Amino acid sequence: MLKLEGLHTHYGKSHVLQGVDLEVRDGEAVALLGRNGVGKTTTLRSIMGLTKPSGGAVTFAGTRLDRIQPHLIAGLGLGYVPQGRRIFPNLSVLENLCIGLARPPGKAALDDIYSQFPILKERAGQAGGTLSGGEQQMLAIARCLIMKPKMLLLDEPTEGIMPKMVTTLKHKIRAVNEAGISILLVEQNFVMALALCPRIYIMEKGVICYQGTAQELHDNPDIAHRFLGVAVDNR
Amino acid sequence: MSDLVIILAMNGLVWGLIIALIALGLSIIFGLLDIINVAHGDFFMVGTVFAWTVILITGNFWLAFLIVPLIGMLLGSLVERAVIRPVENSAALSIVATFGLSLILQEAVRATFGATPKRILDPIGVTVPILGLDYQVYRLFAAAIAIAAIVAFFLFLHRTKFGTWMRATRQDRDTAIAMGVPSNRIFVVTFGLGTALAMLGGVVAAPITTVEFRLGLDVLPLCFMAVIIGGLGNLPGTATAAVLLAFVEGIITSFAEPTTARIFSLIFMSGVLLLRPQGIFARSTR
Repeated sequence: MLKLEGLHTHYGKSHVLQGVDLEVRDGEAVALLGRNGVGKTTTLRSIMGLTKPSGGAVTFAGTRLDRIQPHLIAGLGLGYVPQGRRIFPNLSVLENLCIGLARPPGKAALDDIYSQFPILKERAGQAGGTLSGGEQQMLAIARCLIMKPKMLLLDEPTEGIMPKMVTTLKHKIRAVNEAGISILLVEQNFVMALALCPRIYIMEKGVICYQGTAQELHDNPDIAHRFLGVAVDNR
Repeated sequence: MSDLVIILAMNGLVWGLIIALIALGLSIIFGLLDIINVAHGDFFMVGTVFAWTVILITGNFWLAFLIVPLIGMLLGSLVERAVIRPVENSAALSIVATFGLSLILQEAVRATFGATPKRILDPIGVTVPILGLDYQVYRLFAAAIAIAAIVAFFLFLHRTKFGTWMRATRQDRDTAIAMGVPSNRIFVVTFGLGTALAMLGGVVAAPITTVEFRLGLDVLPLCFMAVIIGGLGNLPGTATAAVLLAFVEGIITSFAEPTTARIFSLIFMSGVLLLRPQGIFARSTR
């Protein structure tokens, strides 16, 4: 579904991605972990064409994403939920929800989204900026889902969200994946990433330094400790 | 004396609505593309010249309301591609580039249209008594056209998909692109629309001002003051500030020199910059 081969990206003179290789297969949920500043967000931005890669290839469903205009990528079925949610604060919730659609959605499509995210129906007329963090996260996911994507890129969806909402979000993301949509999840919340994604990549200094299954990571706490600096609770 | 105050206040109001129209163009271009368009006043000037040309060719002034904004849309789109796109993302370079454009527009008009100021006759040529004074009907018509265009512009911005995309792109360009908003097309159309607004302002203003190549230099400062006082990127604020500025300048002109009126406006703007740099109409939360 999505394949990154030797991806390099520069921000000015700093060489952020130094040859990232990564693959997400059809229907799979994959987590991309790593400490702050190792290039996880840049990886997602490079996939979406928001930061132009300086080398390597990004292929999604048979199309080279690094060779097309960035605004065409969403239409190929790749949804992006950016870090910090990035809801348009002065657009209404409904306008935010339908931003990626060229035509107003049919009633069925809208009802379908509202049944998954009832809060958005209640708040449809409100400005996006007035929603709580958790509600904005729901909206950020919903505005991708309404475009019927094949795959979602999620950048730290639980960051700055209250614990009760984190559980709800986890269930939503799992439901999305169970509906057949592939997921690439960037997370600081290690436990959540392991719970959602059977396969894990770990990044360090702009390259993938480890790949394995969630089970392996679970069974070898020293790996997580070495690359992420976290202790895995093995109860 | 009081008659003069009323006339000049009304003239100020009409002029303010025209300035509002032009300043809206300046504001959307700045808000969306981060371009400080120093040539914006010259597009207004080109609008008045085209209005003159339309009369010259067809003998019908009213056609200019249709033709000139379309030319503006086209010219603006062309300029975006040729002049603006290469200096994208650099506000400083955009000033240099549009200053060059400003010179080109002025000299092109001087070379073709000539340097002598010309006047367009009042196309309606009727007056109505207002508060015991005869007032040009065309000025009222000009105000009505300006208001209609401003309302239409806001409806476009808030009621159409393209308008929503423009607002989204202004708020967060990257996310808009990631959601599939065709940002390049948005930029072209925005610059075209901004230019069309300035040139429509030119047509509306043509019969109540002189037509000459330096006209833009007069209008540009007022537009920038409206944008600054109204708050950068705050469109309703900009429109309100434009009307207010021109109205007050009109009243002051009735008992003092126009230069004094402009000094007053500049002092007022300096006060706004010192006390409320976000603009007097900006919401306190942003």
